[in-house]
Order: sequence, then structure tokens, then C-alpha cells
Amino acid sequence: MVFNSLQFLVFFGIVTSAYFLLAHKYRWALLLVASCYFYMAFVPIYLGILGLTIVIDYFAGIYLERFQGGAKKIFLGFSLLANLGVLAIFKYYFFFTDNFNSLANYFTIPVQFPVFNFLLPIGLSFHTFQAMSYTIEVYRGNQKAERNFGIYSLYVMFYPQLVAGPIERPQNLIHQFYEKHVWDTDRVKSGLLQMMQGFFKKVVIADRLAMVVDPAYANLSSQSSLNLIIASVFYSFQIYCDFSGYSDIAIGASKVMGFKLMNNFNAPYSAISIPDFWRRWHISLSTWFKDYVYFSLGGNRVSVPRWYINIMIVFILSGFWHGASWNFVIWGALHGLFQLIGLTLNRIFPHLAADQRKSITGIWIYRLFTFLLVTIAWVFFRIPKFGDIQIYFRQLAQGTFSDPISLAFNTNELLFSMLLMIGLYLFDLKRDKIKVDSVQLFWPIITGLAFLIYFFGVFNMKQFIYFQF
Amino acid sequence: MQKLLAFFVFIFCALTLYLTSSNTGMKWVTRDRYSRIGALGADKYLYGDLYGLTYLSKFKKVKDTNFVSLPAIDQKANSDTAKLFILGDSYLYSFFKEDPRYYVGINQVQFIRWSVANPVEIIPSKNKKNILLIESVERNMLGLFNLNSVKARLDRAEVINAELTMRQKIAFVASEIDRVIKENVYHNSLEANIEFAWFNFGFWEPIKEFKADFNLNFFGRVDKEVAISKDQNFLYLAETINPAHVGSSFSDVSEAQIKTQVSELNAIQDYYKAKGFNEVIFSIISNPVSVLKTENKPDNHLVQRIKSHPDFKGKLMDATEDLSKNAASNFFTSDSHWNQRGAKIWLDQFNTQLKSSVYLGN
Repeated sequence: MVFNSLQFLVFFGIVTSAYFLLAHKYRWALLLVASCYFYMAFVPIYLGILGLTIVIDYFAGIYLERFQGGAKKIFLGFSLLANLGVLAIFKYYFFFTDNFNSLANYFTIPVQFPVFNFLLPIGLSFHTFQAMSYTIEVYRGNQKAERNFGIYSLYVMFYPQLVAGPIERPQNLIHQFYEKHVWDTDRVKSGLLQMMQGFFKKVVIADRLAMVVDPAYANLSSQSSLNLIIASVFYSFQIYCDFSGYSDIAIGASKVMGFKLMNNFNAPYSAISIPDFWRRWHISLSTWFKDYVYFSLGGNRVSVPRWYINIMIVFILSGFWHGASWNFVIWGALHGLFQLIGLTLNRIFPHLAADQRKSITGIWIYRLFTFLLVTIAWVFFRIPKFGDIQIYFRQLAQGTFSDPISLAFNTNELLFSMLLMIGLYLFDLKRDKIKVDSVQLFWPIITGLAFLIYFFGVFNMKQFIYFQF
Repeated sequence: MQKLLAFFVFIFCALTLYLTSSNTGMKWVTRDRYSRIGALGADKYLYGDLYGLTYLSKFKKVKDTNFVSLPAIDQKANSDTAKLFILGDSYLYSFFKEDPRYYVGINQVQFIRWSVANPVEIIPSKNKKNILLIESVERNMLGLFNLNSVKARLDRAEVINAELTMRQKIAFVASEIDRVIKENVYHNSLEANIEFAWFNFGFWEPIKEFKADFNLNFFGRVDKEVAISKDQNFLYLAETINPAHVGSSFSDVSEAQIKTQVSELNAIQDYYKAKGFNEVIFSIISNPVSVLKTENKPDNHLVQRIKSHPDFKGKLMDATEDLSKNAASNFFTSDSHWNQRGAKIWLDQFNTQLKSSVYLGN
């Protein structure tokens, strides 16, 4: 079920109202059933896969707590293997076999793996990572093993964040299922406002920008350089609004019921460097990699070459997490490379480091430069085929900037879209300084947003980009 | 107070889900909505299916929804002569339903829609002539007019008994489980049903029209499924005028594709004749834009090229020429279909064909 649908509104109305009508002891069961219903709306049979990993991780958690030493490691390894195995089969099997077979062909090795291209379960990478964080935290002793199978299942399946995060940690979420959430009008209003903000980002901005981006990227060879630049900048905002819109709806829907999910975005395009960008973009994933991969590799408490290798490993893995395709790997590697170049330059010219910028002009120059790097990297994220990436840069290099803009938009729509992007950017930038109490102004704001969404929304039930991961 | 509010929201949403998830519930909602006029009546499709997608005020024209008037009674038709099986779409179903009185020499009609979810088994009558009409609008024709696609609708036994590999069997079982769960838990048109139940009221109409007119005038945009004709007088399905779309009248269709299509039609005819049908008639209804010729673009003449292909050995009805006479009066301005006059032109031509098939045996 996608958030930007009427089905979801009906579902949300039923689940949330039933949540407050039911006695506390039955609420987790309601949420679990609702989460199953939500997930099965995509491909019902994939609930079985989710169920399998839930059972394995549930028992792994209990045994991890019971045993010490080598046995404990074996249980952790078994749990990780099960989770990564599911990922490997459903997400990466085709990628590996296809690449292996191509290599075998090239070197005339008479070995060919059978190629299956499984339909990827929606949000597989998200709930697998959330499940893994549970067993790792139990292993580390930071989280008690959950004895209630229903509550543990709900931890993995909690519907607002099941298919596209935020990727929660057990310490933050599990205890909340035991807490009794009473109706708090201010909190409910605040949650609904955040949901509306998410809907606005998705249907008014992201899906509007997609009307330019999709045709332009679908027909790269006929685009002028200017068209491609516009489409690329639009894509940067499209993916931001699409994903952060989803996160806003997830966080808002949870907040209405009294749950607090972690923040996933913090004005990413106002970042002044690539590391700063990653502190603001998809925070739940970047902190996951930091906590469970980067620190496990030694982080920065190792020699400089090893530190650089650690950074590259984390970013390449992060790219690979997004999709079983080389373009995602390149996207991750590019971000890693940008980080390494930045670190090296900071060591040579410490006075030029981004965090040393004090003047407004200096900060804006760094912001623009960071946005430019991020936008270039998004090109690799957006285009899956190498041939098309070549066409993109060939068309861009032609320098046809004076050609008339020929996008699937008229001038008014183009200007309106730019206005929306600038408005969003400034809102993000100044959000903390805005002193208006949105809860007190709930009715005017929510009515205004509903009006804007209805009149300026693009209602095509376009799936969220991050669902594919 | 909060409990009361929660209770009200729960009842409202649960009732919505209950009604929109069941065919019976939706029939009740639809019947009730269409029986009313004004603020509480339905606004969708009242003025044409394309108006119902765009809500452009300019195209709000009351659509004549009566069936085509019955042709003069054919005296010979009273005898038990022939059964007509139709595999067709809304172009015929919306105007003739399953009434045999429309068709010369026919006393029984079985209509199977392309959109049917499960295949049926058509069995030719032993004591009658059996005529199979396979009809589709041009935009869907290339995807539908092939033997597998026809069999998937008309040959239930073959679909079930088809030899499957183990891999296909596993995939089939998995997809069946999925299908059963989805059909029983999630109605396949739930989203459209909720939209109908909540927003298909006359009182929403001015707001929808305001939005549609604003989008057109300010952003130059209409619903993505719809396009306005160059002369601004007709609404078309966008896919029919977009050359990039396979169903467009202006898409590039090569000679090789025509040849493939012709061999598919021949294969369908041979297959069903072998199954006991006396006659297989094909009918491709041209996209409205092919007839109205408002776009000044080179037409691919798909229907005519198939019909005149030297390898084609079947009967293909093409009403384009007759429809083109005084073309604008044969189509609704805000609907993807022809109007009663257009349908009548097709019917007359089909009945001429039937006369020779039923009475003369060819």
C-alpha cells in the first residue's frame, strides 16, 4: 500500500482510531495485524519471507543472550547469514550470476550459473537492516532479547517504517510498544501536520518534478545541455522530496499514535561538505553503516591509508545497499571519493576546511559546491546503464546552453516548480528559526496544505523511489 | 470526546472499506449515486469518460446514454439460425449489451469482454451456425489480436491443462496464492472505488472543474491520459495520438509487424474454425482520431494495411470509411467512444456481413 493513496487514508483512519479505542494490552496485536495487511497489499506471498527472518532473528536474539563466547558468535553469524542470505537471493542473486556468467563467457570458462530474476520484496533492504540491528545490539549487550514474539515481529514490521524506513534501532523502538500512549491533542495535531508536509513534498513537488525528469532521462540523446542540467537539478529535489516526504508521513503517522521514530533528514542540501551531507541525508542508514560497519572496521582510529579504505568500503556498501547494479556502486564510490579528496585537501590546507567557513559568502560557496557534487553523483544513481551515462555526459559536453528549453513543461510550470524548490530550500534552512507554533495554527495550516495539495498535487499514485530498495 | 471522535472516524473508514471492498457494496453505491441528480448524484461519466478524467468545463456535454435503437426486425431471424459469440470491448458492449435482436439472423449472443479476469470456455452449438466475432479498438489491437491472447479468454480448458514446467508450476502456484489473497482481502479496484465513493458527487464538480480549467489555462496541462484535439473540439485518449505509444494512430508500424499480425489473425481463424465455428469475423474499430483527422499527422493506416495484405485470408470489418462521412457527428466530444450514430454505422455494416454469413453460408 502506498502512502499517497486513498486506501492508505482509509487504512490509517481505521488503525489509528482503533488504536485509541482498544485497551492497551491489545494494541500491539492490532498494529501487527495492520502491518501484515499493509505489507501484503504489495505481494502477499512475500510475507512468508519476512516471517522466516523474523522467526530466525527472534530465536537468535534469545540464544544470543543465553550464550557467551564462541557460541554467541555462532548465533550472531547464523542470524546475519540468514538475513544477508535473503538479501543475496532476492536482491543480488541476478546481479552476481549475470556478472559471473558474463565474465565466464569473456574468459571462455565453461561454467554458467542459472539466472533467476526474483521479484524484489518491497523494502527488503530496510527491514532486513532493521532486523540485523536487533541481533547486533543484543549481541553487544545494548538490548535485551525480546521474549514476546508478537512485539518482536512488530519491531520488524511496524507499518509506518516497514518499507522505506527510517531504519530503527531496537533500543529506540521496542520499549515504545510496551508504553501506554494516551491521546494527546497537541501530539496528534503535530503528527498530522508532519504527515501533510510529507504528502505535500511527495505529490506537489516530487511528482511534479518527475514530469520533467522522467521524460528527459528516458530520452537522453535528444536533450540539450541546458535541459539535462535542469532535469538533474530537478532530480536532486525530486528524490529528496520523495524520500523525505515518505519519512515525514511515516514519522507523522507514528507520532499520531504516540510513537517517536528517528529523524531521517535534516536539510541535506544546506550541507557545506560531503560528510556534512551524510549527517543530514538518510540519517538512519548512514548511522547504521557508521555504527555497525565503519566502527567495526576500526573507523578513523587506524592508519590513514586504512582509514581511507574503511571510508571507501562503507560508501561502496552503501551504494550496493541501494540496488544490485553497478551504477549504485559507482554512486557510492563517488561519494567515498569526494570524502577522501575532501579529507586530503583538509589535511594539506586546513584553513580551507568547510567547517572553518565563517562568512556567509564562504558558507554559500561551499553549499553550492556540495550541492553540485551531490547532483553529479545523483546522475549515476538515476541512470542504470553505462551507455546511457555516456550519452548523458556527451550531451552535456556539447554545451548547447542557448537552445530553447524543451521540457515536458510550460514556462509557468517551470517557474512554479523552481519556486517550490526555492521555497522548500529556504524552509529547510530557516526551519529552526521559525517561531510560529504550528500546533496552535493547526486548522489554518492543515486546511491550507490540503488546499495546496488538492489544487497543485499531481495524483498519479507514483510509487516512492526508495520502495525499490 | 476523543473516544467519540475516534469512534466516528473508525465507523466512517470501516464502512468505506467494507463498501468499497465488495462488489455488492459498490453496486449499491453506484446505483444509488447514478439514480440521483444534482449535488448528491454521480458526476463521473455522465458527460463522457474523458470528461470524467479531466473535468474540463468546456467539455461538459450531456452524453446520450441510451442504447442504439433496434434495427428493423428481420423476418428470417425468428428461426433458430445462428449463435453469435463476441469477444469484444466497451465499443460494442456499451451500446448493444447481449441483445440478439440487434443482429441479423442471430437468436443467441454470448459476449465475453477482453477485460474478463478469468477465461471462459466457449462451446459451439451443434444444431446452429456458430459465428465468432473478435472485436477491438485499434489502440489495443496489437496487444490483443494474437492466438494466445484470445485463447486466454476463450479457452479455459486449455489454459488450465497447459503443460507447465516445474518452474512455471511453482510460479503459477505462488501467483495463485497471491491472487486468492488479493482478491479476498484487497479488492482489485479498491482505490478507484474509494475515489468514487468519496469524491464522485455532483457537489465536488465545480471544484474539480475549477482545478482542471486552472491547470489547463495556467500550466497547459490536462490529465495525463487525455489530450485535446488540435481543433479544440474533441478529447482523445492521449495514447492514441502519442506516436511513441504502440496503440497510437501515428505510431510507426513496419511491414514486418503487419505481416506478423496478419499471420496471427489467420492462426486465430484456423484454430476456431477447427473447433467448429462456421465463421470467424474480425473487427478493428479505428481510434477516433484516425476517423476525425484533426491532428494533421501521418496516419499509420493499420486497419487498412492488414485488411488489404495479400496473406490475409479472413474477414475483417473496417467501418472507418463509413464513419468518416460526416465524422464529427459520429463521436462524442468528451468520450473515448463513438456515439449512437457511430455505433449504428458499425452495426449496419456488421449486419450486412452477417446476412451473407448466416443465410448464404460464406
